[in-house]
Amino acid sequence: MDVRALAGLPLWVASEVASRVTLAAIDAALSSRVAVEAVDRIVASALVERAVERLLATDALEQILASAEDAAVPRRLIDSHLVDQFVERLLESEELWLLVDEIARSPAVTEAIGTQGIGFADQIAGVARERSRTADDRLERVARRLLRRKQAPVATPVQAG
Amino acid sequence: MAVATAQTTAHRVHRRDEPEQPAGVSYAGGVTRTIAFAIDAALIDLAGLFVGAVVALVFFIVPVGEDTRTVAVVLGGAAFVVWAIAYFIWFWTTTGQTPGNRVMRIRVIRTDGAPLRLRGALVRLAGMVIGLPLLIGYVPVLITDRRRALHDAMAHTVVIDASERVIP
Repeated sequence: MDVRALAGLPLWVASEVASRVTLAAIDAALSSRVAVEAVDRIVASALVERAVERLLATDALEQILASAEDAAVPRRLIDSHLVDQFVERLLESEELWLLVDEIARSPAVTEAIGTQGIGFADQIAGVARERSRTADDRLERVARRLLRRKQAPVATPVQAG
Repeated sequence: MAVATAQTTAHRVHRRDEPEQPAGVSYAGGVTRTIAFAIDAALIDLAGLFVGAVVALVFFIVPVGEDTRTVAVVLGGAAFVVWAIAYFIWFWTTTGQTPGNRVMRIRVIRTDGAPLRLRGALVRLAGMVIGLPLLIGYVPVLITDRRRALHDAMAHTVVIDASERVIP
Protein backbone atom coordinates (compact mmCIF):
# COMPACT_ATOMS: atom_id res chain seq x y z
CA MET A 1 0.00 0.00 0.00
CA ASP A 2 1.19 3.44 -0.79
CA VAL A 3 2.36 5.21 2.35
CA ARG A 4 1.34 8.66 1.05
CA ALA A 5 -2.19 7.50 0.41
CA LEU A 6 -2.32 5.89 3.84
CA ALA A 7 -1.17 9.12 5.47
CA GLY A 8 -3.81 11.13 3.62
CA LEU A 9 -6.66 8.81 4.66
CA PRO A 10 -7.37 10.42 8.05
CA LEU A 11 -7.36 13.82 6.41
CA TRP A 12 -9.87 12.68 3.76
CA VAL A 13 -12.06 11.08 6.44
CA ALA A 14 -11.94 14.24 8.53
CA SER A 15 -12.81 16.39 5.52
CA GLU A 16 -15.71 14.10 4.55
CA VAL A 17 -17.10 14.08 8.10
CA ALA A 18 -16.80 17.86 8.34
CA SER A 19 -18.65 18.33 5.05
CA ARG A 20 -21.48 16.02 6.05
CA VAL A 21 -21.83 17.62 9.47
CA THR A 22 -21.92 21.08 7.91
CA LEU A 23 -24.61 20.03 5.38
CA ALA A 24 -26.67 18.35 8.10
CA ALA A 25 -26.42 21.48 10.22
CA ILE A 26 -27.54 23.64 7.29
CA ASP A 27 -30.47 21.28 6.60
CA ALA A 28 -31.47 21.35 10.25
CA ALA A 29 -31.20 25.13 10.38
CA LEU A 30 -33.25 25.59 7.21
CA SER A 31 -35.99 23.24 8.35
CA SER A 32 -36.19 24.74 11.81
CA ARG A 33 -39.14 26.89 12.88
CA VAL A 34 -36.77 29.73 13.69
CA ALA A 35 -35.48 29.85 10.10
CA VAL A 36 -39.01 29.88 8.67
CA GLU A 37 -40.01 32.63 11.06
CA ALA A 38 -36.89 34.60 10.26
CA VAL A 39 -37.65 34.44 6.54
CA ASP A 40 -41.24 35.48 7.17
CA ARG A 41 -40.08 38.44 9.23
CA ILE A 42 -37.55 39.50 6.61
CA VAL A 43 -40.15 39.34 3.87
CA ALA A 44 -42.69 41.20 6.01
CA SER A 45 -40.18 43.92 6.80
CA ALA A 46 -39.30 46.75 4.47
CA LEU A 47 -35.89 45.23 3.94
CA VAL A 48 -36.74 43.31 0.77
CA GLU A 49 -38.53 46.28 -0.72
CA ARG A 50 -35.59 48.53 0.09
CA ALA A 51 -33.16 46.01 -1.39
CA VAL A 52 -35.16 45.82 -4.63
CA GLU A 53 -35.39 49.60 -4.76
CA ARG A 54 -31.65 49.91 -4.32
CA LEU A 55 -31.06 47.27 -6.94
CA LEU A 56 -33.29 49.06 -9.41
CA ALA A 57 -31.86 52.48 -8.56
CA THR A 58 -28.34 51.40 -9.43
CA ASP A 59 -27.33 49.72 -12.66
CA ALA A 60 -26.32 46.62 -10.74
CA LEU A 61 -29.07 44.53 -12.27
CA GLU A 62 -28.10 45.55 -15.80
CA GLN A 63 -24.50 44.70 -15.01
CA ILE A 64 -25.43 41.27 -13.70
CA LEU A 65 -27.55 40.60 -16.76
CA ALA A 66 -24.86 41.91 -19.09
CA SER A 67 -22.20 39.77 -17.47
CA ALA A 68 -24.48 36.74 -17.61
CA GLU A 69 -25.06 37.42 -21.28
CA ASP A 70 -21.37 37.91 -21.93
CA ALA A 71 -20.58 34.70 -20.14
CA ALA A 72 -23.15 32.96 -22.31
CA VAL A 73 -24.73 31.55 -19.17
CA PRO A 74 -28.15 31.00 -20.71
CA ARG A 75 -26.64 29.18 -23.66
CA ARG A 76 -24.58 26.95 -21.38
CA LEU A 77 -27.62 26.28 -19.28
CA ILE A 78 -29.56 25.16 -22.32
CA ASP A 79 -26.64 23.15 -23.71
CA SER A 80 -26.28 21.29 -20.43
CA HIS A 81 -29.71 19.65 -20.96
CA LEU A 82 -30.59 20.82 -17.48
CA VAL A 83 -33.63 22.61 -18.84
CA ASP A 84 -34.71 19.50 -20.76
CA GLN A 85 -34.48 17.38 -17.64
CA PHE A 86 -36.33 19.99 -15.64
CA VAL A 87 -39.14 20.19 -18.19
CA GLU A 88 -39.28 16.39 -18.43
CA ARG A 89 -39.66 16.03 -14.67
CA LEU A 90 -42.14 18.85 -14.55
CA LEU A 91 -44.32 17.18 -17.17
CA GLU A 92 -44.15 13.89 -15.29
CA SER A 93 -45.37 15.40 -12.06
CA GLU A 94 -49.05 14.91 -11.28
CA GLU A 95 -49.18 18.15 -9.33
CA LEU A 96 -48.51 20.16 -12.47
CA TRP A 97 -51.50 18.64 -14.29
CA LEU A 98 -53.69 19.14 -11.25
CA LEU A 99 -52.61 22.77 -11.23
CA VAL A 100 -53.27 23.12 -14.97
CA ASP A 101 -56.67 21.49 -14.52
CA GLU A 102 -57.45 23.80 -11.63
CA ILE A 103 -56.45 26.89 -13.64
CA ALA A 104 -58.38 25.73 -16.71
CA ARG A 105 -61.54 25.32 -14.62
CA SER A 106 -61.22 28.64 -12.88
CA PRO A 107 -64.04 31.11 -13.66
CA ALA A 108 -61.60 33.80 -14.75
CA VAL A 109 -60.02 31.54 -17.38
CA THR A 110 -63.32 30.12 -18.67
CA GLU A 111 -64.71 33.66 -18.89
CA ALA A 112 -61.63 34.82 -20.78
CA ILE A 113 -61.90 31.87 -23.18
CA GLY A 114 -65.60 32.62 -23.69
CA THR A 115 -64.90 36.28 -24.42
CA GLN A 116 -62.11 35.36 -26.80
CA GLY A 117 -64.40 32.86 -28.55
CA ILE A 118 -67.15 35.41 -29.01
CA GLY A 119 -64.63 37.97 -30.21
CA PHE A 120 -63.24 35.51 -32.72
CA ALA A 121 -66.71 34.55 -34.00
CA ASP A 122 -67.58 38.23 -34.34
CA GLN A 123 -64.36 38.82 -36.23
CA ILE A 124 -65.16 35.96 -38.64
CA ALA A 125 -68.69 37.31 -39.12
CA GLY A 126 -67.23 40.77 -39.77
CA VAL A 127 -64.97 39.43 -42.51
CA ALA A 128 -67.91 37.49 -44.01
CA ARG A 129 -70.05 40.64 -43.99
CA GLU A 130 -67.37 42.73 -45.64
CA ARG A 131 -66.73 40.17 -48.37
CA SER A 132 -70.40 39.53 -48.99
CA ARG A 133 -71.01 43.23 -49.54
CA THR A 134 -68.15 43.41 -52.02
CA ALA A 135 -69.58 40.33 -53.75
CA ASP A 136 -73.02 41.99 -53.82
CA ASP A 137 -71.62 44.96 -55.73
CA ARG A 138 -69.62 42.81 -58.14
CA LEU A 139 -72.51 40.46 -58.89
CA GLU A 140 -74.81 43.40 -59.46
CA ARG A 141 -72.33 45.08 -61.83
CA VAL A 142 -71.99 41.87 -63.85
CA ALA A 143 -75.77 41.31 -63.98
CA ARG A 144 -76.41 44.88 -65.08
CA ARG A 145 -73.70 44.68 -67.73
CA LEU A 146 -75.17 41.43 -69.07
CA LEU A 147 -78.66 42.88 -69.18
CA ARG A 148 -77.30 46.20 -70.49
CA ARG A 149 -78.86 48.22 -67.73
CA LYS A 150 -77.35 51.35 -66.30
CA GLN A 151 -75.09 50.88 -63.29
CA ALA A 152 -76.59 51.39 -59.85
CA PRO A 153 -75.99 54.73 -58.13
CA VAL A 154 -73.19 54.59 -55.62
CA ALA A 155 -74.60 54.68 -52.07
CA THR A 156 -72.89 56.86 -49.50
CA PRO A 157 -73.23 54.90 -46.32
CA VAL A 158 -72.98 56.59 -42.96
CA GLN A 159 -71.22 54.56 -40.33
CA ALA A 160 -73.14 53.90 -37.18
CA GLY A 161 -72.11 56.11 -34.32
CA MET B 1 -104.53 75.91 -44.00
CA ALA B 2 -106.16 74.02 -46.85
CA VAL B 3 -102.87 73.96 -48.73
CA ALA B 4 -101.10 72.52 -45.71
CA THR B 5 -103.75 69.81 -45.31
CA ALA B 6 -103.51 68.94 -48.97
CA GLN B 7 -99.73 68.74 -48.71
CA THR B 8 -100.00 66.43 -45.68
CA THR B 9 -102.50 64.21 -47.47
CA ALA B 10 -100.32 64.07 -50.56
CA HIS B 11 -97.34 63.22 -48.41
CA ARG B 12 -99.28 60.42 -46.73
CA VAL B 13 -100.43 59.00 -50.06
CA HIS B 14 -96.89 59.19 -51.36
CA ARG B 15 -95.64 57.37 -48.25
CA ARG B 16 -98.29 54.71 -48.66
CA ASP B 17 -97.09 54.17 -52.19
CA GLU B 18 -93.42 53.56 -52.60
CA PRO B 19 -91.55 56.30 -50.79
CA GLU B 20 -87.91 56.82 -51.52
CA GLN B 21 -85.57 55.79 -48.77
CA PRO B 22 -83.53 58.59 -47.23
CA ALA B 23 -80.02 59.29 -48.42
CA GLY B 24 -77.26 57.26 -46.85
CA VAL B 25 -79.24 54.04 -46.77
CA SER B 26 -77.69 51.13 -48.57
CA TYR B 27 -79.51 47.98 -49.50
CA ALA B 28 -78.44 44.41 -48.97
CA GLY B 29 -77.53 42.56 -52.16
CA GLY B 30 -78.04 39.02 -53.31
CA VAL B 31 -74.94 37.45 -51.77
CA THR B 32 -75.50 38.93 -48.30
CA ARG B 33 -79.16 37.96 -48.35
CA THR B 34 -78.36 34.44 -49.52
CA ILE B 35 -75.84 33.92 -46.69
CA ALA B 36 -78.35 35.26 -44.16
CA PHE B 37 -81.00 32.92 -45.54
CA ALA B 38 -78.59 29.97 -45.42
CA ILE B 39 -77.91 30.67 -41.73
CA ASP B 40 -81.65 30.82 -41.03
CA ALA B 41 -82.28 27.62 -42.98
CA ALA B 42 -79.52 25.87 -41.02
CA LEU B 43 -81.03 27.01 -37.71
CA ILE B 44 -84.54 25.92 -38.72
CA ASP B 45 -83.24 22.54 -39.90
CA LEU B 46 -81.14 22.02 -36.78
CA ALA B 47 -84.12 22.66 -34.52
CA GLY B 48 -86.27 20.35 -36.69
CA LEU B 49 -83.63 17.63 -36.58
CA PHE B 50 -83.34 17.90 -32.81
CA VAL B 51 -87.09 17.59 -32.27
CA GLY B 52 -87.26 14.77 -34.83
CA ALA B 53 -84.49 12.88 -33.02
CA VAL B 54 -86.28 13.25 -29.68
CA VAL B 55 -89.56 11.99 -31.19
CA ALA B 56 -87.73 9.06 -32.84
CA LEU B 57 -86.20 8.21 -29.47
CA VAL B 58 -89.63 8.21 -27.85
CA PHE B 59 -90.98 5.90 -30.56
CA PHE B 60 -87.97 3.64 -30.08
CA ILE B 61 -88.67 3.33 -26.36
CA VAL B 62 -92.47 3.17 -26.61
CA PRO B 63 -93.50 0.81 -29.41
CA VAL B 64 -96.44 2.11 -31.48
CA GLY B 65 -98.39 0.79 -34.44
CA GLU B 66 -97.65 1.55 -38.09
CA ASP B 67 -100.70 3.81 -38.40
CA THR B 68 -99.68 5.91 -35.40
CA ARG B 69 -96.22 6.22 -36.89
CA THR B 70 -97.63 7.47 -40.20
CA VAL B 71 -99.84 10.01 -38.43
CA ALA B 72 -96.84 11.18 -36.39
CA VAL B 73 -94.77 11.67 -39.55
CA VAL B 74 -97.54 13.73 -41.17
CA LEU B 75 -98.00 15.79 -38.00
CA GLY B 76 -94.24 16.24 -37.72
CA GLY B 77 -94.04 17.52 -41.30
CA ALA B 78 -96.89 19.94 -40.66
CA ALA B 79 -95.26 21.09 -37.42
CA PHE B 80 -92.01 21.71 -39.28
CA VAL B 81 -93.77 23.90 -41.86
CA VAL B 82 -95.53 25.84 -39.09
CA TRP B 83 -92.23 26.23 -37.24
CA ALA B 84 -90.48 27.56 -40.37
CA ILE B 85 -93.31 30.02 -41.07
CA ALA B 86 -93.45 31.15 -37.43
CA TYR B 87 -89.69 31.65 -37.41
CA PHE B 88 -89.69 34.17 -40.24
CA ILE B 89 -92.96 35.86 -39.29
CA TRP B 90 -91.88 36.32 -35.67
CA PHE B 91 -88.49 37.84 -36.43
CA TRP B 92 -89.66 40.02 -39.32
CA THR B 93 -92.53 41.50 -37.32
CA THR B 94 -90.58 42.06 -34.10
CA THR B 95 -87.03 43.21 -34.80
CA GLY B 96 -87.03 42.96 -38.59
CA GLN B 97 -84.01 40.73 -38.26
CA THR B 98 -83.86 36.97 -38.28
CA PRO B 99 -80.75 35.51 -36.61
CA GLY B 100 -79.20 35.16 -40.07
CA ASN B 101 -79.99 38.81 -40.81
CA ARG B 102 -78.48 39.77 -37.48
CA VAL B 103 -75.23 37.99 -38.29
CA MET B 104 -75.09 39.71 -41.68
CA ARG B 105 -76.30 43.04 -40.17
CA ILE B 106 -79.27 43.51 -42.47
CA ARG B 107 -82.88 44.35 -41.63
CA VAL B 108 -86.25 43.97 -43.34
CA ILE B 109 -88.40 47.10 -43.15
CA ARG B 110 -91.34 48.48 -45.03
CA THR B 111 -90.63 51.01 -47.74
CA ASP B 112 -91.94 53.75 -45.46
CA GLY B 113 -89.37 52.76 -42.83
CA ALA B 114 -91.89 51.15 -40.48
CA PRO B 115 -91.51 47.60 -39.19
CA LEU B 116 -93.28 44.81 -41.01
CA ARG B 117 -96.75 43.76 -39.83
CA LEU B 118 -98.24 40.27 -39.74
CA ARG B 119 -100.07 40.56 -43.04
CA GLY B 120 -97.05 41.99 -44.82
CA ALA B 121 -94.85 39.29 -43.35
CA LEU B 122 -97.21 36.54 -44.58
CA VAL B 123 -97.31 38.09 -48.05
CA ARG B 124 -93.52 38.36 -48.08
CA LEU B 125 -93.12 34.71 -47.10
CA ALA B 126 -95.61 33.62 -49.75
CA GLY B 127 -93.67 35.69 -52.28
CA MET B 128 -90.45 34.00 -51.22
CA VAL B 129 -91.96 30.58 -51.90
CA ILE B 130 -93.45 31.71 -55.23
CA GLY B 131 -90.10 33.12 -56.32
CA LEU B 132 -88.14 30.00 -55.45
CA PRO B 133 -88.48 28.05 -58.75
CA LEU B 134 -85.28 28.83 -60.68
CA LEU B 135 -84.79 31.65 -58.15
CA ILE B 136 -86.78 33.80 -60.55
CA GLY B 137 -88.08 35.95 -57.72
CA TYR B 138 -84.56 36.86 -56.68
CA VAL B 139 -83.29 38.12 -60.07
CA PRO B 140 -84.70 41.64 -59.53
CA VAL B 141 -82.32 42.01 -56.57
CA LEU B 142 -79.49 42.27 -59.10
CA ILE B 143 -81.06 44.85 -61.36
CA THR B 144 -83.37 47.07 -59.32
CA ASP B 145 -82.06 50.23 -57.71
CA ARG B 146 -83.14 49.26 -54.21
CA ARG B 147 -82.18 45.63 -54.65
CA ARG B 148 -85.71 44.41 -54.15
CA ALA B 149 -86.78 40.84 -54.84
CA LEU B 150 -90.23 39.76 -55.98
CA HIS B 151 -91.38 39.20 -52.41
CA ASP B 152 -90.12 42.68 -51.44
CA ALA B 153 -92.24 44.21 -54.18
CA MET B 154 -95.24 42.14 -53.08
CA ALA B 155 -94.94 43.10 -49.41
CA HIS B 156 -93.66 46.67 -50.01
CA THR B 157 -90.42 46.00 -48.16
CA VAL B 158 -86.72 46.64 -48.56
CA VAL B 159 -83.72 44.96 -46.98
CA ILE B 160 -81.37 47.58 -45.63
CA ASP B 161 -77.86 47.48 -44.31
CA ALA B 162 -78.39 47.58 -40.53
CA SER B 163 -74.79 48.45 -39.73
CA GLU B 164 -75.41 51.98 -41.00
CA ARG B 165 -77.37 54.82 -39.48
CA VAL B 166 -80.39 56.06 -41.40
CA ILE B 167 -80.50 59.79 -41.96
CA PRO B 168 -84.10 60.93 -41.46
